[in-house]
Amino acid sequence: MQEALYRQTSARMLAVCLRYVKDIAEAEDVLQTGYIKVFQKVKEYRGEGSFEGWIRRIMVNTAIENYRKNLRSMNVAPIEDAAEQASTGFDFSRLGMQDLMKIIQKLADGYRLVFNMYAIEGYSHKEIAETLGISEGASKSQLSRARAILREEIIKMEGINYAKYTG
Amino acid sequence: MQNIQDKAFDELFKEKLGDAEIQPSANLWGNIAAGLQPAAKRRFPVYWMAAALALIVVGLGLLMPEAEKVRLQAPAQLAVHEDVVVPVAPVVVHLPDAGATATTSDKSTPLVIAPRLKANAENKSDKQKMQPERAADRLVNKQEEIVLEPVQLPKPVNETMIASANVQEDNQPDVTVAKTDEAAGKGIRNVGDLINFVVNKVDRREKKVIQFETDDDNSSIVALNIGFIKFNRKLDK
Repeated sequence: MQEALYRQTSARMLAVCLRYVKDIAEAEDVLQTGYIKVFQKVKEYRGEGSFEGWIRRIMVNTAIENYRKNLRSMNVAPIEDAAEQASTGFDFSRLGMQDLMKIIQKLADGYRLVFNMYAIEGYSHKEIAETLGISEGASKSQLSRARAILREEIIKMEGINYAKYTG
Repeated sequence: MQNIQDKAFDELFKEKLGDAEIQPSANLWGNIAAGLQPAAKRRFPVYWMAAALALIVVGLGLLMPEAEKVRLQAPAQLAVHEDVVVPVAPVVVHLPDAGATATTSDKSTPLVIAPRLKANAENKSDKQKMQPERAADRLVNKQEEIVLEPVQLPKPVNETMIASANVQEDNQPDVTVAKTDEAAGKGIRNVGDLINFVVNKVDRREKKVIQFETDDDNSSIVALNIGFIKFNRKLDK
């Protein structure tokens, strides 16, 4: 029963975990801790929302706890002048899931968390601020900074892809 | 190439990554299953601990008023020791002594003292001289009525009877109360005893959740085993 649930959902959940961490090994650590929590707390699931959504939330929370544990070693995101490339366009169609995953993983921890929580999980800035213990303003500025960095990275990647394509 | 607004930008990431799948390594389920085992075992004792602690708290609440009684008991017992002597001494024996003690006491202190002295004096003849002083204080202070009685000296027998009877009446209730309290108290005398009792019922292990060492007045913790908090004075000895 437990194993069946794991087999059914673990691939999607590992992708969730991977978005929040640096590499696959750390993602599997979070996944393991997350599933143990899922099976221990399964009685607390009250049928609100989809069961998989409930599991996903536990995974995200576990990833955030993991981030907090590592906070001490976390390097404060470097304050560079954000090159305002926001208006630069690019073609997503050539970027696969793995490319985007790599780009997200390049982000500093703080940016990665805020971008994931806001853009993909759909948290509000207020929720993010409460969960991470930062101000709403910090959440917003980290989000826009994260977007700017992601755009830069995508353009770099597109350039490489384009070079491959033409070369 | 097209301009992409922030919202659309986020949406594209959500689209591509939101439902992404990556197969975890094969041994991961084994680790999770192993991680679940000890947790399941752990659960049971934790509930028992919680139950035991709840009982202890309730027990403490119930016993608080009784704990004060225990304090009252201590002075009562001290008083009893003096009193206990009284019943041992047969009242009848006093009759001859009554006259003698009365005369000696007359010289130093009021006549009244004589009859009461007998009861105390009987036990230890050595103390006869010392006792009149103490006894005099008590009698004069407590029962001024008796001061009138010395005039009736001719009837020493009756007075002694009355005096001793009074003494017994005063003291007997104390004695009995003290005895019953003591008898019941050997089971559970204070909070420590109660907690030990409850914990013994609930926790059958050698190292109990909490244990007290108790004597008549005090109880002190000798063992504590809650989670990572482990303290066993008893076992160290």
